[in-house]
Parts: sequence; C-alpha cells; structure tokens
Amino acid sequence: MHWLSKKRNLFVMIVPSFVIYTVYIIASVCIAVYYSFTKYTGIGKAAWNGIENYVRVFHDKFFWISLKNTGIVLILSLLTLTIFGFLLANVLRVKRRGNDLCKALIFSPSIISPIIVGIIWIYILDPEVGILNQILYKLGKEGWMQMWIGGTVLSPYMYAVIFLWRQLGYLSTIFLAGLNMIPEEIYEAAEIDGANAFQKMVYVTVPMARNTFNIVILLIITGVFKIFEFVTQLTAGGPNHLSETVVTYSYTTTFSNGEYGYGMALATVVFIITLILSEIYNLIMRDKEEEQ
Amino acid sequence: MNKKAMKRISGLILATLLLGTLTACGGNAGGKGEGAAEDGSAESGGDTVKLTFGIHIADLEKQEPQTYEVLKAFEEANPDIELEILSTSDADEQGTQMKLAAESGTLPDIFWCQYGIAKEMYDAGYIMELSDFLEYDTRVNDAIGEQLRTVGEDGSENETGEFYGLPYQKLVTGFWYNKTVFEENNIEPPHNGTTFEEFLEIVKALNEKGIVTISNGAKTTYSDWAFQAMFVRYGFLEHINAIRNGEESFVNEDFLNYFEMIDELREAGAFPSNITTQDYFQAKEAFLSGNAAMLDSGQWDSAEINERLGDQVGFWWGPTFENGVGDQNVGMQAFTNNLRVSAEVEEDQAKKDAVYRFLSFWLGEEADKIRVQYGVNPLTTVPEAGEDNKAYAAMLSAMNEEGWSGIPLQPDQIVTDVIKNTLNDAIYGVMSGIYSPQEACESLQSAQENQ
Amino acid sequence: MTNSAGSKLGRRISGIVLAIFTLIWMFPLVWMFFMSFKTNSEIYAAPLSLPQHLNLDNFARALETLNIGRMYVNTLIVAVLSVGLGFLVTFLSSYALCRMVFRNKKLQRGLLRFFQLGLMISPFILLFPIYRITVQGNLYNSIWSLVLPYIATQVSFNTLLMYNFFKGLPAEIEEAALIDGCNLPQLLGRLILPMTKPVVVTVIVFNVLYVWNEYPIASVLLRDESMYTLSMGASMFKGAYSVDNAGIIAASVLIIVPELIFYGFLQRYIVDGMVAGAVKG
Repeated sequence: MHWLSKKRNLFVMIVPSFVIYTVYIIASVCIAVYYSFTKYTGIGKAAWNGIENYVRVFHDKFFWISLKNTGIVLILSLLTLTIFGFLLANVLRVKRRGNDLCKALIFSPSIISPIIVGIIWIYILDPEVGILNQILYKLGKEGWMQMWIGGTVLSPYMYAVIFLWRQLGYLSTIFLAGLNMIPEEIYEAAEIDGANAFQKMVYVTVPMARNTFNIVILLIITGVFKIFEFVTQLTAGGPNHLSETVVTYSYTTTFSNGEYGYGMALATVVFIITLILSEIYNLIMRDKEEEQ
Repeated sequence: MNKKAMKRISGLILATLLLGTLTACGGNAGGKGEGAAEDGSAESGGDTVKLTFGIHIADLEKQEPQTYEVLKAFEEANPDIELEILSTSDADEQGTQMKLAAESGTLPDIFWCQYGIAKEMYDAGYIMELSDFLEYDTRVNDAIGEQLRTVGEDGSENETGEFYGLPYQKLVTGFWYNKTVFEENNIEPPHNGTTFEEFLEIVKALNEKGIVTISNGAKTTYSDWAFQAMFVRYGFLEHINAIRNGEESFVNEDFLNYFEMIDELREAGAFPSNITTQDYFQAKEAFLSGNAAMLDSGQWDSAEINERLGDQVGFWWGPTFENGVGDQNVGMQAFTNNLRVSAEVEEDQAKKDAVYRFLSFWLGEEADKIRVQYGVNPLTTVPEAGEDNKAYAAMLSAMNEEGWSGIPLQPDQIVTDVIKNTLNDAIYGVMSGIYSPQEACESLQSAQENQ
Repeated sequence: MTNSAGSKLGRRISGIVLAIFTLIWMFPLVWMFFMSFKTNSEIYAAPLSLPQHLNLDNFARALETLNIGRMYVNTLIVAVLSVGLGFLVTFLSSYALCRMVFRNKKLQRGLLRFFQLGLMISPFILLFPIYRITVQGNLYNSIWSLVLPYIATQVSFNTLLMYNFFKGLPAEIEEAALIDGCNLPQLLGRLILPMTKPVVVTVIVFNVLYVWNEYPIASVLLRDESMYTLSMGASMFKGAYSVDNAGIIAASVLIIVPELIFYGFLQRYIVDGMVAGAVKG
C-alpha cells in the first residue's frame, strides 16, 4: 500500500470531504462562536458585545427551562428506546410468519417527514381536539385527561413519546442486527448450564450486544438534538417558551426575535454541552472496554 | 452490487440529473408567479419591466384575494409591467427571508416588512426613502402625506420628514360578535361605550352558560389585536417613548392595571380553556361555527364572517376603562406602512418609474374600490359599504360612530421584533394564567433592557 | 433463541403481543389517513368520528395548492446529488484514512478525530452560519446551497460507518491486488467499492431519509417556490389569515403515501442493508 499512498493520492482523496466539511461544519461553528460575542440583528454590522450574551444565558430562565426539557427528552428517550428497542428486537428474532410485516410497519414512522409526524400527533394529543382525551372521556376515565400539550408540564414528555414512536422501529432493527450476530453456540452452552430464557437474555444477550448498544445510544443522543419540528408543530415552544428545547429556543431567539448574537451564544452553549456529553460517553466506553 | 445494478443505478442518476436540468431550465416558477423567475434583475430599456413583489402570505389568491385582485388589475392597466409574486408563509418567515435577501442583494423590488426590521434595513441603506413619491403622486400626498411625514413609524415625532414605508393595509381591529349567541341566551351584547365592569358581567353571564366569550388562539402570537387596542386605552402610546429613552419602565401603574384587567377577564372565564393549544384559525373557526360569542380579529375577516354569519354579526371596539389613560372612545384604525421599496430600484430609472406607477395604483381609487368589494378598508379614500357585506357594514358603522376616533398606531407594530414578541407573549401569558401582571410587565422591561 | 418445546407458549404469547403492539403502533398513521377524508369542520367539531363520506375535496385542494410532482422531483434531485456525492467523497476520505499509509501517523489519527467531531453537532445550531456562508459564497437560491451543507452533515456519520467497515477488511486483499499490478483507481473502483456493498446501502438509506425530510435548512435557504422540496410542502399551507387543516392533512397523506410505497418495495434491502452495515461497523 505504500506505493499507492503517495502524498498526492492521499491529498486528492481526502480534500473534497475535508473542504466541504470544514467549510460547512467547522467554519460554521466558528462563525456561530464569533457572533455569540456580538449583538447582531441580521442586518448591518455586528457590534462587539463581549461576554454579555453568555452572562445573559446564565440568567435566562427560559434557557434553563429549555435545558430541563431537553434533559427530560434525552433521559426518557435513552431509557425507553434502549429497553423497548432491545426487547422488541428479541421478540422479532424468533422466526415467525408475520415478522417481516411487523418489522416493516413498525419501522415506517421513521420514513415520514417530522413535520407531518408533528401534525399527526397534534390531532392525538391536543387536549380539546385530540382523540386521546376524547377516548379517555368515552371510556369514562375523565380523571386521566390531561393537558398533554399546551400545558406547562407534560409537553417535553410528549416529545419523548413521539420520538419513541418514530424511532423505535429503526433502532430495534439495529438491535436486531446486533443480536443476529451473536453465535448460537453461546446460547446452547448457556442452556447446557441450565439457564432459562430470562437468564439467557441478561447474561448472554446483553453483554454480547454491547457494541450495538453503543451505536444505538449514539444515535439516540444525536437524534434528540435534532428534534425540532415536533416542538414547533405541537406547541410552538409555548406557552411562553415553557416547552422549548435548547435547539428550538436558540432558533426562535435567532430567527423570530432577530437576536442573532444571543441566539448564537445559546447555540454555542448547546454545542459545548453536546461536546461534554460525548466526552463523558467516550470515557465511560473506554473504561468499560478496558475492563473487558 | 454487481455491474448490472451499478449500471442501472448510474443510469438512474444520470436520468434524474437530466430531468432535473430540464425542469430547472424550462420550468416557470411552480408557484403563483407571473412572468419570469429571476428576481431583482431589471430588464429596462426594453419593452416590459419586471417587478418582484415580496409578500408574507403563502397563497395570496386564496388568503388575501383583495390584494391579489389589485395586483392583477394593475398588470392589466399596465401591460408593459410584469409582477412576480414571491411568497413566504408568515410574518416571521418574511422577516428572516427579507433580512437574508438584503444581505445577499436579492431584495424584491417591493415587499412587505414590519417596522423593526425595516428600520435596520433603512439605516443600512437597503431600502429607499419615499418622500420623493409624494411629489410624484400629489393625490396621495393630499390624502395621507401629512401623517407619513410627521409621525414616525415607531410612534414618535418624525423630525426629518423622511419615511420609508407606505400603507399596506389598515388595521381596523376589535371584536366581532355573534348576535345569535347573545339572543339565544338572553344576554345584552356589548356596544361601543360598554365599560369594563359591564363587560365583565356579560362575560360572567356567558360563562355560566358555558359559552366562551372571547375566542382566541395563543399559538398565533400576534392574534391579540383587540387587546393591543385596549393597551392603547391604558396609555401605551403615552408611555412608550419615555420607556424607549429609559426614562420610564414597562413596570408602571398603568401597564400593571392593563394586565390586571386581562387577568380579571381570565378569572371570569372569558377565554377558551384550550387557548394555549389552538391557533388563530382554530379560534376563528370556533367563532364561525357558533361556539364562541366574540372573535378578536379585524377587517380582513369581514368577507368570511359575512359568508358564515351574515347580518348576525356585529362589531365592537372593546370595553372602556375607568382606570384607563386618555380618551377611552378610541378604536384601532392604524395604517401599517409596511410596504417597502428596495434601494436598488433607485438606480434603475425604468424600474423606479414602474414602481412609482405601482405605488400610485396601489394607493389609488381603483385599488380601494377593489378592497371595499372584499370588505376591506380602503387606504386613501373614504369607505362606503356595499349592500352584501353586512359584516363590513357593521364595522363601518362602528368606524363612523359619533364620538369615536381612530388610533393611528398599533403597539406591536411600532416596536422592535424583540419587544413585539415579548409583548405578545406577555399578553397571552396573562390570558393563559402563566404570567402574573407583574411578571408580564417585568418580562417587557427586561427585554427592553437587553436591547 | 432456540425453539425448544417449553417456549412454544411463550412464542405464541409474544406473537400475539407483537401483533397487538404493531396495530397500536400503526394507529396514528391509520387515523391520519381517515382524517384526510374529513372536512375542516368535522375535524374540529367531532374529532372522534369517522368521516361522513369519502370526501376527496381535501386532496383536490392539496394538489391545487402544492405542486407535488415538482416537489418530488426537487427532493429527488437534491437527494441524489447530496447522497451520491456525499457517499463518493466520504468513501475516498474514509478509505484513505483507514487503509492507506501516512507518513505522519498522528496526522492520520488526528484527521479521523477531526471528522468525528461533527457527530454531535446539531444542524440547527449551524443554520445561521450556514446561511451566512451561502450568502457570502453567492450560492443563495441555487440547488447547491442545499446540496453542499447536506454533504457536509453526512461526513461524520459516513466516516464512522465506513472507517469501521474498512478496518474489518483483511489486509491481504489489497496486497493481492497490488501484486496483480493494480493502480489506485482500479483498486478502489474494481475491488474495494464492490466490497463496500453492505455499508453503501446503509449510508444511502440513512442519508436519503435525512435529506428527504430535512426542513429547517431547506426553509431558510430556498426561496424560489419552484425549488421547494417535499418537506416545505406542509409548511405551505400555513398562512397569514387562513389555514386549512384538512388540506394540510390531505397534503401530508399525498406526501407520505409514495414515501411509504417506495419504502414498502425497498424495505427488505433497506432493513437488511442497515443491519449489515450499521452493526458490523
């Protein structure tokens, strides 16, 4: 390979990705950070503002609320998608006639545009017009009727539910792949040792699927930070910015309020948070790997 | 993937690229445009001048037919001018797109844009100063020139006489009310001059019957028009300049009284329980289908309301307040001067001429006639109702009511985007019980300080 | 899991549970499908009811307002360009970073980490900077204004998948080819690329899904209605003074039904390919 690895070849092969990536991703981050130190309305000149924007972020109660909301969505999604995705994959593993059909159906929500997903769920979750409350009412369970969206508490939980609905099929398919790679022999060995179904799952399947869990968790985290249309469609971040996520709050501040500088400060803070999260994640994974 | 599959896929890709190039080159704008697609570029000196018209409405023909008709009529009367309509879906998106267009040199020749952004554009030299136009069209000068020259868009005194926006529409706003709902429940509907205390009684009476008094949707943040007018009755216009100068604060007695008034309405059950999850259009539908007594809205709905409710509808300016400020017999009749002209037009004489002709037509009598046909108020002529639009007739009689005068400015139109959004948030916040009046004022003050 | 006798009942039960679960899971989609036949007032007034008649008005309106055919074409063009080019450039760079020999090993590792940075960055954060870049680069309102950022957002993910995949290839392959006197393009095109099949499908599917449904970047960067993609479709019903919920739903159905059909046909490949690529990697 030495012979083919001339500098010129390497250069040609890497440069296209490198340039596009650097310009649109890296440079964008730098631009965002630059503007985060300014006051800018989108027109004219950006005025230097020092760290004032960041001080404001710290004091901004809407920011902390949006952070809390994002946290709720993240934690719920991690829990539900990993557990249910895993369980579903286990169920799907067993050879059955309807398996493929079920797999395809459950996967289909992830094909649909998120805006449309949001629209669908408005008609389910809206406290007045949505069918969830209507069904509860008809069933006589009036006490269970809630302000699923539009209230001050439940909205982030609903985002997690919708995210779950959309991603479950997709992620459980990934789990399925990972599970299918576990050799039969190990199960047979376990059976010989007298393990029952449950023990097999816990002591064989889970550890062997570690790599898959990693990928799924990574996908969940990146996915949560991509949630946008659900929020805008369901609640518009409201009422009064109480159900924003950090991503939507940064967007609203930038584009609706025309406070580009402050919006970019928020964006930079989000970026730093995701960096920290991914570092923590990497560290944990590295430790675990060393343990192994 | 074997060779065959690869070949097939590359074939598909090539085909798509070909198809794509064909569609891109050959096709006309797939939307509502008339004339060729390129924006801004003048084809002057030739036969037709192409003008671009940027508007914040996704489907002009359906949603603002009067404007659409005016544009068509202009084209018919001026066969050497072609108009291309560039739409965005709402005011927010229009703002973002216009900012982007300004920075990239692709502003439409004529476009709608609110004050906050327009001011920035003007300061940066992106839009044209328009007092020159008043010399071109003396009729418009006589009709509205004085106001344009003396009152700044932000409500303060216009010291230089310069201005950079022309009227797009008149915001005549208040409450439409459904007479049938009141009749069926034996409640006296409000009339111009009803005080707040009296109105509160009406609200309580309606609430007892389980009827929503004021249909409103918090998801559409700007749909609190009647409440903007009420804010004026609590002295918004008196205070705002001093607040902007830092001499006064948004946290003041009058404003607190205003928000407390809204809070009282909320407690009396005036607003729908799902106010936070519905938007303006749903609120309108609730009213039109008889599920609410009143709708917070304005002139633009008169045609639709007339269609659904005919002469069963009345129009009310809103309650007067004992602890209000200044003349209480005022109703919102504000021009929104949101029609802007790109500065680049100035460079091109043929374009400038075409733009001026457009503006003349837009502000002219023929255009106003079209507007009245659709139950929308004219811009430079005196309105007369047609026979068929009863809703508009109701509005006109309120406009012409003795002792009542018009408010020339709507609070959220004369402030920056940040304050506008915070103001609307504050109003809806109190309506939905999320903000206390104190918090409402404070949120405004802190937004002001952050600027 | 083995199919021993003892778990036959277990299998039955889990089968039934699966069936019920799938039905419940599909409910929102089915419901939306029904809603698309209701009129606007039916939707507000009687949410739970089934449509009175099979009302095709909504679809007519949807078709009238949206140029759906054109939007499909636009989306397809953007998808083909961005996913195709995205795959190509990341294929080259991932292979270079993985299998080729660098004088400076640190550089090699550094570049890899550099490319991975993008994994955690949410594209919304970059919206404003991307549009500044687009404006400065004079790309505004062209198809490249979308395609380039889409390629950029794929780099990190594609690199992750492909790098891991290449890592798993036995070294002998290249050695054999070299002995046969292969040059670089031949090596890549004839030998490596065909072997990359499992990842190709995964990469393409992931990225096409993303591009297909991407909204924020498209909404900010596209102005010409004639260039609108599918994701802009639903947003077009929103308007200043009137909205047509039934129309939006009908338009949504019109948009997703072909998506679902397309998915239905390719489903086996998509799922299997994802399986192979994502997890092996």
